[in-house]
Amino acid sequence: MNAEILKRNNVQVYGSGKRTMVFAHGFGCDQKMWRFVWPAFQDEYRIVLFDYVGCGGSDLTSYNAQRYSNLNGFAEDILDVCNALDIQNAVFVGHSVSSIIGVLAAIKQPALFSHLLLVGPSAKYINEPGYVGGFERADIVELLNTMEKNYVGWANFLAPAIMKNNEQPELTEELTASFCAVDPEVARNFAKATFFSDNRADLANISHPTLIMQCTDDLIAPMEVGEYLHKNISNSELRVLAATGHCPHMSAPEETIAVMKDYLAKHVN
Amino acid sequence: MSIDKITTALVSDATVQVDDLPCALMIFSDKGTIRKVNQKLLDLLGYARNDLAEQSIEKIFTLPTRLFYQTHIFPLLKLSTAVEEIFVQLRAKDGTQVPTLLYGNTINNSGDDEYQFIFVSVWQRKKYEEEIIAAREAHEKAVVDNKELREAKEQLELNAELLDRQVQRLRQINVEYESIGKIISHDFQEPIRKIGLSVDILGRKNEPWNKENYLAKIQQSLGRLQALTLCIDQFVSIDTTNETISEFDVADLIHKAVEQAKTETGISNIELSINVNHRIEGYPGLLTELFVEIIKNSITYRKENTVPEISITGQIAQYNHFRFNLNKYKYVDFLRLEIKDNGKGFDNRYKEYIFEMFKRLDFEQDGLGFGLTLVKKIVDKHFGTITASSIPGDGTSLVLTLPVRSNSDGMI
Repeated sequence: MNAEILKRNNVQVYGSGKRTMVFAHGFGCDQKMWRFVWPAFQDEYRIVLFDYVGCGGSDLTSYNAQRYSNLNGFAEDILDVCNALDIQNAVFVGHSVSSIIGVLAAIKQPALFSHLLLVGPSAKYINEPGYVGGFERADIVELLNTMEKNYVGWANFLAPAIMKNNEQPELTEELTASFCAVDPEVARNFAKATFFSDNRADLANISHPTLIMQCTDDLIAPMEVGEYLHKNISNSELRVLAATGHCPHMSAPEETIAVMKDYLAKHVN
Repeated sequence: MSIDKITTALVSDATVQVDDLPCALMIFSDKGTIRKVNQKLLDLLGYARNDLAEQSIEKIFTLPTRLFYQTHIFPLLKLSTAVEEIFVQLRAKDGTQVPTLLYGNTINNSGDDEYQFIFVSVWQRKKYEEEIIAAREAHEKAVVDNKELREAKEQLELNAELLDRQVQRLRQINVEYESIGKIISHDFQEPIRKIGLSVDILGRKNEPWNKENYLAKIQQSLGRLQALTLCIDQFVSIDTTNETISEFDVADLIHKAVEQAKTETGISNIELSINVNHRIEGYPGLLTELFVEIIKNSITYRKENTVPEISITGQIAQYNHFRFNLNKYKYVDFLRLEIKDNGKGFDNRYKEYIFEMFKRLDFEQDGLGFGLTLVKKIVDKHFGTITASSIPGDGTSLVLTLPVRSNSDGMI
């Protein structure tokens, strides 16, 4: 069973630390997103990386549209992986929608995690009276259309075959292992589960010490959203990064690592 | 390579002006600031050169394209240094959308990463794609709108849920049947054997027996049989309860159970913290019994010379309500209750054993080992879950999940 889960979610374990750090990737890519960040922690932590079913190097035959149309289904992947590795008291690091997926997992099994480090989190993406999420429903529908159009009778740009990389042969292997590859149905369901979710009510159920890493000028998780999370997660700290955009772990890994280390130094004995 | 001129390899002294290229070109920094654009890009989008200089690249993206850039294109560019054949909509100065195909790569400009994107407008392709998508959507809509098909699907889904419940119930009954069988062949046989032995001795003539002693033994065994029978009766009656499902306040119910547990144990000095603010549907009478048993346990198995402390917290979480059919998922609201005490605790090896009928860990206390069996049975009746974990000397923690809503047919 455990071996099956590890294979299903393409689980990779590195590092030698006594404590564990679990990295969860966001919508749009896979665990490789973390590769500029995790090596900085491998001396102190055992590093656990995985792909959600349907993403990256996961076992696509395990994909279930009903399960992965709900963020709770993704949260079960985290629970499955952590339980397969018998993880307790780990530091959870989630990017984007994985922040909330980690929150859902932490509510169901609080003892799994000691701290939650959330990069660009949001509890709800769509605006409503009294809440700024950053998007109107029509924007998300348009995003789904843009994704659709990249799949219609045309070379699927996310497919591995076109990802030739002769200049950097060291990358070739991971690229042929389908880089960020997603089946259109998988991508559509993940996008819908992500952008139509509303997890504001779950925030009050988290008592873990939580770091909210808010980027400057993040379209997907604007400042108001970071402040909302900070206000509603009781034991949280909000850090605004100089990094812009939604992927500081890729665009500004040094700053991201420094902020994480700073927080951990203060909060983890 | 300079943006201003491209030297072709074939004709060594010829140069091509990038402004003459039949595609739009944009070079931007690692931070997403536009460094250079060619004339074709300006023409395509209706901008003057000054409009875009040192602006964010996202200025020429529609909002969905910005989203797509952040979630897909940027990570791809960062990890693989090149992207190809991506469909994106650009935003012209007047707000109109320009459908394009994007190709991009990373270049190193004296130590700094820079990115160059070319865009090729695809007005025609967009038209075909829209037709394809429209056709597919029409097809999907036809499927969705097909009333009979939709109804059949809904019925199928309902039947799947019902089947799942029934299989679960059947499994529970099988387990119960088996354990009651074991009880009849073991727990009941022991007092019956003792009675038989005593009667046998009492019946012998000329035996120097102590009549009172054997009568007392018979009495004791009868008492045991009676107690066991009562338990089995209580256990079975859960299935045949006359109670109906109703909605109630969980904290109220717990408070009521606490009072009852205090009366039954004769101990009223307990520290209680209840943080549950939820209403759920279920069998209130059975759930009161459940909390009485749990609280009695915390009181009975308290540490010596300590005041029992019990904390109960409730949260809503979504769990899959299918249990048997592993390929079906439907996430519904459950009340997740965590009940912690500061009691003696137990070795975690026994975390499942403690729910079995007439199984006991602590023989210093009187008891039949029935309380948690009843608790489990009531949880099963609600299609909930219960798990226990404990640290000896530190206390026990129970996690209970109960569905917030019951099904209309009474199969919670």
